[in-house]
Amino acid sequence: MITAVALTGLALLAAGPASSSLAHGDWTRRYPRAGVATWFSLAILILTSLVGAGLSLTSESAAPTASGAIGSLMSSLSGPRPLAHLDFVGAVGLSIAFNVLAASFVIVLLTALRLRSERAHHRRILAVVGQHVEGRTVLVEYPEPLAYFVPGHGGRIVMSTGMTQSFDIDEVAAVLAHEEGHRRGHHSSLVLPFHSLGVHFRWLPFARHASGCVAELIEFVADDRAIQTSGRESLLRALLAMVTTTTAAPSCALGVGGSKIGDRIERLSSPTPVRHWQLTSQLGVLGIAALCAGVLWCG
Amino acid sequence: MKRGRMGQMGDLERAVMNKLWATDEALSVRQIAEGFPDHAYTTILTVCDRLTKKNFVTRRLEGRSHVYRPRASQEEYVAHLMDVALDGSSDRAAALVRFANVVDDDEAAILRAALRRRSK
Repeated sequence: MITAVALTGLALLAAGPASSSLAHGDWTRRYPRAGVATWFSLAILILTSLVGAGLSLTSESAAPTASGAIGSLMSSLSGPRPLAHLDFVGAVGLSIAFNVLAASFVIVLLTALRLRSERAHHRRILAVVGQHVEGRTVLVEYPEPLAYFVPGHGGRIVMSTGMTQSFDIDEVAAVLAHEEGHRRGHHSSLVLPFHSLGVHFRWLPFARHASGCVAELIEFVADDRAIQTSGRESLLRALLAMVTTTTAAPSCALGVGGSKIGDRIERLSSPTPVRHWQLTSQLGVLGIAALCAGVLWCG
Repeated sequence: MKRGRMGQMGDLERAVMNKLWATDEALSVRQIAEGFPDHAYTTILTVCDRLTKKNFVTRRLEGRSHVYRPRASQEEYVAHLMDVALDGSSDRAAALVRFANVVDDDEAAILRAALRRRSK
């Protein structure tokens, strides 16, 4: 029981104070990749803690650690009468472990399937109304400056004629480099688990923080890629042009959690070295991964 | 090889749709095929069949041949795509990755002011 309580406490700690300090921390803005990696590590830590807590209840007396619980559970499953030795607490524990794992898997899968079909629908129409410029870029006749990426098999970068007409060539190149960054980095897959969490568990502060922050950090990552190929100045000008030329209805303006374009402009305006992220991210991830391993093996 | 063929098919579908959008009348495969002398009648027939299955056109029997008409105008299709792309508040838009969210007038004014201060 102590193991289960301790692991639940660890999960709460990760979901509460740890995620809150990560969400409000300033360092992720400078090292967005490391930030995304840390969000992933936190999510995995919470998942393993909760599953570990459930499993540790199943065979507390036989094996007081979560890893021992997995071993004894496996041997009882392969025995002549599987799960026969489980008492009430053990059954609850097993059901918690199973449900947490199954729920995580199912919500991510359902969201992935829904997004895939919506993207396929979008691409089908795009194939008929859009004009292929080159490679993956499709031009659509539309007065507002607009660019977006449709992820998935045969992913497309869409640009409106409003953008090609009102932006100069360097700004268009920067926008394309940003979207190309999303494509090459497989950002849609990175965002997927957090987006599913945010949609299905909106009432959980962790889910809200994580989905909002990861979505924003991914934009920073794509911005950093665009800087490498097109330069900071072009990207900054493109973002500013978005602000000054867009005249959309207010209903469109109220995005989820407000617009983050201001944050991106501010970030690009204050020159910070985008370096050494690898070391930071590896250290952070190693630390949390060690904690995950500790959860499983030391109970 | 397969990819190349599919790409060609896509181009042809777009071209056929453009021809149908350019007129108010429903066109028969023969009428459509007149615009594509490089392609066989059967190819155009296949394209029309595919467009029907994809729900881009409706098919109706007129006399002894089928005539095709677009389900919606090109502008309506574009408007539909852009609605999804511009609507940052709906979960539907999560299928896409926007370059930047649209900002309202107040926010734009604040950003412009901040930038003027910076450039001074």
